[in-house]
Amino acid sequence: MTGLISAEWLKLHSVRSTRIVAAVIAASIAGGAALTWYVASMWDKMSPADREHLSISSVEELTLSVNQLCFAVLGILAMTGEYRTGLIRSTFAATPARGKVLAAKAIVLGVCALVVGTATSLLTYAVCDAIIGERPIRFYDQPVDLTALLTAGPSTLMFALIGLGLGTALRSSAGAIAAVVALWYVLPIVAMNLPSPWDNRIGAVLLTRLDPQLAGVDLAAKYGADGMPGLLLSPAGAAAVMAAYTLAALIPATLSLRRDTR
Amino acid sequence: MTGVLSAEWLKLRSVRSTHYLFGVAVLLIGGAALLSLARVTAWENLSAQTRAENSGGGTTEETILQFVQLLGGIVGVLTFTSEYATGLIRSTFAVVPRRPIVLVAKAAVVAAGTAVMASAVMFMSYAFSEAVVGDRMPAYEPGFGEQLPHLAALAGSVVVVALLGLGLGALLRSATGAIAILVVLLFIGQMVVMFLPEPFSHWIYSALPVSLPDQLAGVPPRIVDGPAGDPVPHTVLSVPGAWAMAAGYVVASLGAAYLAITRRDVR
Amino acid sequence: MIEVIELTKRYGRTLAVDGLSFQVKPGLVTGFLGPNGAGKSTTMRAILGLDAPDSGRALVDGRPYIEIRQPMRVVGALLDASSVHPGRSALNHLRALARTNRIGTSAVVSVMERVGLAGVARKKVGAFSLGMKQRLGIAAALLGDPAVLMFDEPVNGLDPEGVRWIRELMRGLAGDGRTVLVSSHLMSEMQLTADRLVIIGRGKLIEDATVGELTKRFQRGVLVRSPRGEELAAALSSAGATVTPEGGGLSVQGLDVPSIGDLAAAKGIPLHEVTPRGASLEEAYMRLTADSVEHKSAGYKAVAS
Repeated sequence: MTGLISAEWLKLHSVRSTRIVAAVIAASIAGGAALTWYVASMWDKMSPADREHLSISSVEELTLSVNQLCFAVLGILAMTGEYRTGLIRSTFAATPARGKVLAAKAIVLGVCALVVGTATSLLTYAVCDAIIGERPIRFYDQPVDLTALLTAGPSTLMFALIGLGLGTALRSSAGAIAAVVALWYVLPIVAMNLPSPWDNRIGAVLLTRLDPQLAGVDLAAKYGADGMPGLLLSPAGAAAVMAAYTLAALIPATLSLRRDTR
Repeated sequence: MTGVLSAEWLKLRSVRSTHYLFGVAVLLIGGAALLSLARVTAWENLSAQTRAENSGGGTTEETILQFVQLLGGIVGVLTFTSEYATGLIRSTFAVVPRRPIVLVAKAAVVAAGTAVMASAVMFMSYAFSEAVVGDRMPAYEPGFGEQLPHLAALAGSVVVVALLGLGLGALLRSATGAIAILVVLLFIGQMVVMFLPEPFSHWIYSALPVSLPDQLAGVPPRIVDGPAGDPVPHTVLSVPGAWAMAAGYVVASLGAAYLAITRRDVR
Repeated sequence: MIEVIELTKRYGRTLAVDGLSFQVKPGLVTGFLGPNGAGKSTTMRAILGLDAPDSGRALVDGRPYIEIRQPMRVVGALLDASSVHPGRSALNHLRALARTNRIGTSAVVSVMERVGLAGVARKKVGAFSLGMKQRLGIAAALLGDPAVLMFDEPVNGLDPEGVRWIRELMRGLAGDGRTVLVSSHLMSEMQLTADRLVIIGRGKLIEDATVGELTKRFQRGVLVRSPRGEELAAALSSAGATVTPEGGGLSVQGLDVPSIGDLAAAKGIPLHEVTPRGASLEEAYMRLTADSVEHKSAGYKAVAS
């Protein structure tokens, strides 16, 4: 298994798409920092009355979204890249236990997602917090909620594995990316439009709503909006739902490995 | 030219991915009808006062717009990237050495195919939603005659995105890369503008494909206040400005594709 | 040693392999011949556990491939040389494969030297010519120093020097006592490389024989001309040959040229021509597979109309 893992690690870091994804994530952090710097400089020029209205949403949420999608794409490509080029035949000929190949990919991607997701979140917060400094701008004037920052790791991990599962089951990157987008973007829209209480119930188990609940953050209370579902799941419940999503993607993927490798 | 056109049409309709994408489009029509049913139920469950204070949101067709745009965009992307992936592009350019003709034929076929697909989705979704909702929600109170330009604009924006996908596919030769850029443009862009300061947020928001239909059909800007009280980005373009923007997307995309296929080796 | 036992595989409604059985023995190069679409690649994929057979089995050293723990050390295979990620370097491609079977980097380096790719190890595979990709695929097959090797159409797209290199490589591998199975649709190529031939058509076994046996089987006798033809025919017949008149001469089957010459000399019959007529293996192959060619070439008229 360690041989398989080191092989998958080599495969992951020896293709261009991985470097592009790394660059995109770095750019998202830089972009978030630039944005924060702009808001801070605006605050400096404002009258005290105007300052009341200024707020900056959590930039970590933006970089987290980028991380989630980037790792979903990496997860998808980890399998579809091999099917597209035909390399999968060599891979499965070298390791006939196909489940192990999937497991090795999941471990490598998962560890990367966990590390990069957590690091991005912490780094974004640290940079933005340093830029804001002592200015009491809304949403950055509260003490740091470390738990909330740390949930970026598991959330990114979940997206990476869902991507891997979809890519394996569908064998097509275009199809798998469309499916991820549907899960990530279309479902929340559908949920928002459901009759109460189903909007909140379904809304609470959406992919992008799980990380705040994992940290016990009540988004509705934080932003004071009706659109946001309240806290329905306990941290343990949110963790269970995240695990269920991951399994729901990986189990069909494992079953699909039995198909012929043409 | 007609030979190249019919060849491209044959290529488009004979691959499985096209069948899947059009299958998803059909599912979307059913999904939209169900969503309309859910929305009207939710709306009627609200108190009379809440209903008086809110609009209940746009039509279901607007709600599914971005996903239909993504499907159209993928059709466009795959017309070039699938040929590069399989090496078929070599034969294509060998039999039609005047490559711009191939580009024009592909663009025509993609535009026609996605126009049919998007119109079918939008108009059928509207027909079902109208049947389900009647005039129980404000968004469906205007009649079909009044909605027609907006529905046509929704479908037209899908064609614009499809041609954009075609250009991205020719430029990048990678389906994943091109679709990733589409996702950024269609979905992430909207999130990012929320963070931008005014007035840039309004300008960039107006340039996003999602904002095209309203502006093309001359629907007035929908100014909404965000959770913190500041206005959420809204549209600013006039109708001619929006048409220029749509044309700009198509021209830039096809122009980039033209340069990419005429200046670069095929390999 | 590879054993294919009653293997059957269908894709949808097409029967790709139909009750196929044969064995591939060590120390020999076995040519796996058949027209395009005969089921060669499907059989090879089934041996490698890539495709699950509908019935029957394929065994390598007596066990199914998928039960081998580090299969690259037992079987090396070249299926489709272009099946590589174009953005990865040759070295990284081989290292990734090697790691899965715990094969060290030193083996990767020495195999790259052996196939002549050491100079381009860090180049992206996408920039490789077909011949270089073919060498890379062979390098992957040799990585684990396996005792069983399978090559699917290895000479496709190679220049003459590459073809000779592969031929010598395969002969050398068989000479080491390894089992070598090489597929091809060209008899002319197999004639020069293989010791044994397994010929299939439409998924069924047509012939399983050594090259020598096939050559002998398709001998079409000896053409003899003599001014005393009738006398000679009687003498040859009484010596056990089958003699049929043919265009003023005699077609003789069952006696070789020296025996015919000796017999004629003993009887004092002058000979004006003695020509052995062996059918080329190419012709033999064409005749064997004539009924099973999937896409028969249409005649000119059929195409024109």
